[in-house]
Amino acid sequence: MANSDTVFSVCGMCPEHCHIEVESRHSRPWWVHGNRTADPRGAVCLLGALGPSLARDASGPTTPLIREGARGGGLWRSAGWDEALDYACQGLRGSLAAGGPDSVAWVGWDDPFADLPRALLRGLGSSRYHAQHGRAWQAQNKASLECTGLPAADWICDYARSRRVVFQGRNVFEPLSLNEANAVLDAMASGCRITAVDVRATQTACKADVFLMIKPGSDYALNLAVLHVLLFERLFNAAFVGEHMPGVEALAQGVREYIPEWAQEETGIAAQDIRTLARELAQAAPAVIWQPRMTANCGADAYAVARSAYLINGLLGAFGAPGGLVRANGPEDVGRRQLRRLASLYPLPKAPRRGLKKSLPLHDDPGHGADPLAGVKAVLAHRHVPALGRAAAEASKRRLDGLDCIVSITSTWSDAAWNADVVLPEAGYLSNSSILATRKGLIPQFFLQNEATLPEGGSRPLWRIVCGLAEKLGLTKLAFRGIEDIRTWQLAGTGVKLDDFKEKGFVDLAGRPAPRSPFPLPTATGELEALGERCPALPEYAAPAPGLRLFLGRLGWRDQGHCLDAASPGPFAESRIWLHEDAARDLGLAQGDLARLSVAGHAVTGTAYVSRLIHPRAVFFSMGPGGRPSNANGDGKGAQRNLADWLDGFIPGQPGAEPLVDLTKATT
Amino acid sequence: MSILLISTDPERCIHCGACEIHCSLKNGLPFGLALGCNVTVGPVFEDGRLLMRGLFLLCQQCEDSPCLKACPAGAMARGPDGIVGINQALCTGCGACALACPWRMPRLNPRTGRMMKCDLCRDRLEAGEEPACVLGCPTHALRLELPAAASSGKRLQYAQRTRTGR
Repeated sequence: MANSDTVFSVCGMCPEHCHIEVESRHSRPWWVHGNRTADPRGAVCLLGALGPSLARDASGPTTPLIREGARGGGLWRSAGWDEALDYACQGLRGSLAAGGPDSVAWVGWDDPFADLPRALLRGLGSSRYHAQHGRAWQAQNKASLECTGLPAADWICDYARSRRVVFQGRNVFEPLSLNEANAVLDAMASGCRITAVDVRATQTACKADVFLMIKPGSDYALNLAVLHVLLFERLFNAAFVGEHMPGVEALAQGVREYIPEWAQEETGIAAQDIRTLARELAQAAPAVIWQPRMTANCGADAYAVARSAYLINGLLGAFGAPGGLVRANGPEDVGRRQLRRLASLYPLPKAPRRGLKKSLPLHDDPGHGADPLAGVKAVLAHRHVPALGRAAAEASKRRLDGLDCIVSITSTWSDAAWNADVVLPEAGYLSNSSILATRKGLIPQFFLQNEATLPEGGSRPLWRIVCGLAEKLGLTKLAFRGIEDIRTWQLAGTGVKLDDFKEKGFVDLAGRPAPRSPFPLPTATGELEALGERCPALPEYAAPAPGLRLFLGRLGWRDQGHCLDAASPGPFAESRIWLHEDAARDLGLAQGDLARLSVAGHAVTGTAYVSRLIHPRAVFFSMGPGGRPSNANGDGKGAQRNLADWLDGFIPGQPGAEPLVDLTKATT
Repeated sequence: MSILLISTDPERCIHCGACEIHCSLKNGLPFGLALGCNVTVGPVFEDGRLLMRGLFLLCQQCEDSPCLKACPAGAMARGPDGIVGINQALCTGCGACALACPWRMPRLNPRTGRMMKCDLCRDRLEAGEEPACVLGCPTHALRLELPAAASSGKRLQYAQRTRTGR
């Protein structure tokens, strides 16, 4: 529009990386909206819209810093980039000399631009690239790998053609995956019916056709009963199951006892409602989706719930069906070439980690025992790294003491930055330019992040930091001098040119959606594994332990590391603790009372929100902003700060992972 | 009222407040100040159904504008499109328009000392673009519509819903 420059980019406020247009005036971003040429056509969530405010807020480090005094003491001296990079490389070289290549690790997130840091590690001969995953994701991913041989991210929910969808613990309209939310709304407008299974009346529950309030921790019981009905009423898709799901007879034996009447006792959901749900799904099959992605309802049963969800989808024939779960396409699936991999500039490490096939969650790395950073002496910590933040916890303190060198690459004051030896300030996403990345989907695409403004202070885009380290370390193949040089190198042989990105900021690799059969799957049989080598028996059902169970959710304003919570207006300005009227009465809490929520010795206070619209055994609280003591952002009222030590060690799907809490009245 | 109106589709609105953010940033207002108000009710049980209801309340561009009559500086005027706008060069920031408005829609921009009100992003309309809130709404719940078209659209939607049994 007039008096405004527009830059195509992707948002950096959350892992979705939605396509955006950044409107700037005098090189300062003033408004962000969605890319009008890409789904969802001009829209962007409120976090994405807050981007320019975040850029102005700029409370993170903006110059390289070298620690003075003890780690975590908060004493730094500013340094130039040359000195800071030399300092970092000195530490890395020391670790390499003393401990070998695998003593150096990069700890980051599963982000699409990871090829460059992976290349750096390969150049050093290290296999230690750790990508951290969200907690619920770990359980779901494991279930997907066991059942389908593919990671969860390789399955797309084809909402556009679906007739019946079940969201189990998934609040699709709040922690916002924009394209997904719009796809669901479009499907609903076309007649798709939605069931929401949750402990609380979420936005999703309010929009659903059917809301089933479930007893906390009993989701697996519901799923077992649905499996039972599908199998014993012979409602499953016989042709699909006969061809693609061996082991169903054993599965049927495994769920024989789990009748809906049993599930009613466990879940509080009427047996007839369970039967109706199964029958409606069968009627709409195979254009059905039992969404296996969970967010809030994470406990010891997370893996069992996710796996049974995949089995339900299998029995209904949803895999590969229009309106079901379809396989995401990469470039080669549509007859195009992949981007050249920067990691291929250097050979594979000589001694790859035992048991490591792909990057694994930080908290679950079988190759290195209980501590995923065992044997590591130097860490390049990209942004927030929980394992380097819990200074109060003994395990974390030991880990920090055992590291000779911590290099933090960050745009905010995360705990990892606070405890680092040297901080290399990364530009915020509005002033960041990235390497090219691939987005899989029905139409795969190449995309990138473009800087809409110059980096704040002395911060630098990630590519420039990594290439700077590479140059200092003698890794000349990675010592690129310009982002366009990298992008041009990546595009070689793909048939796509850099200029092709000017029109829309991304390049689609196919003209129209390309659905394909997901079979053969990369499993032992090439088919779905109802019960197989990796999972020979269904997990046992265990009734949840009595007590109040905590559910943490993401509520737009409050719930990402980048959050301007200090100025949040309206109903989200306060930290609400949702609890049922009965629970409130028993605890002596009234609407609006200050309450203290404690779990495993950690506590957070909030305002009691008493309602009938949450299960009597559930307590809901917002994850809150990343208001760590070291982070100026946020009012510090959220769970992410105050329950951090508990949260970082809580692994859904692990035995004993029961988020039981105490709730008491508070005065301060 | 103006030729155009911005409506909220209650089926699509997710009550996130992004509309206010888009309005605030596009109009250069301080954080937390917007020219429209996202109003949400719920969740509540109503007739056995769980509901949340919300809409983005904007200036109604009243036909008989109290704000326009109240302005002592002649800064407010209605365009041929029916939109009541504030001439920033003439506005003194006295706030009489806000006091006169039964909805208190005009707001003082503390950065400029002038009053501002929703004008359906007239600058964007003149460039052939949608208002900021309409473009940016995460779920396309806001629509810029001609009132008559809005009415027939609603009836068609109702008919379709009746057909699918939703």
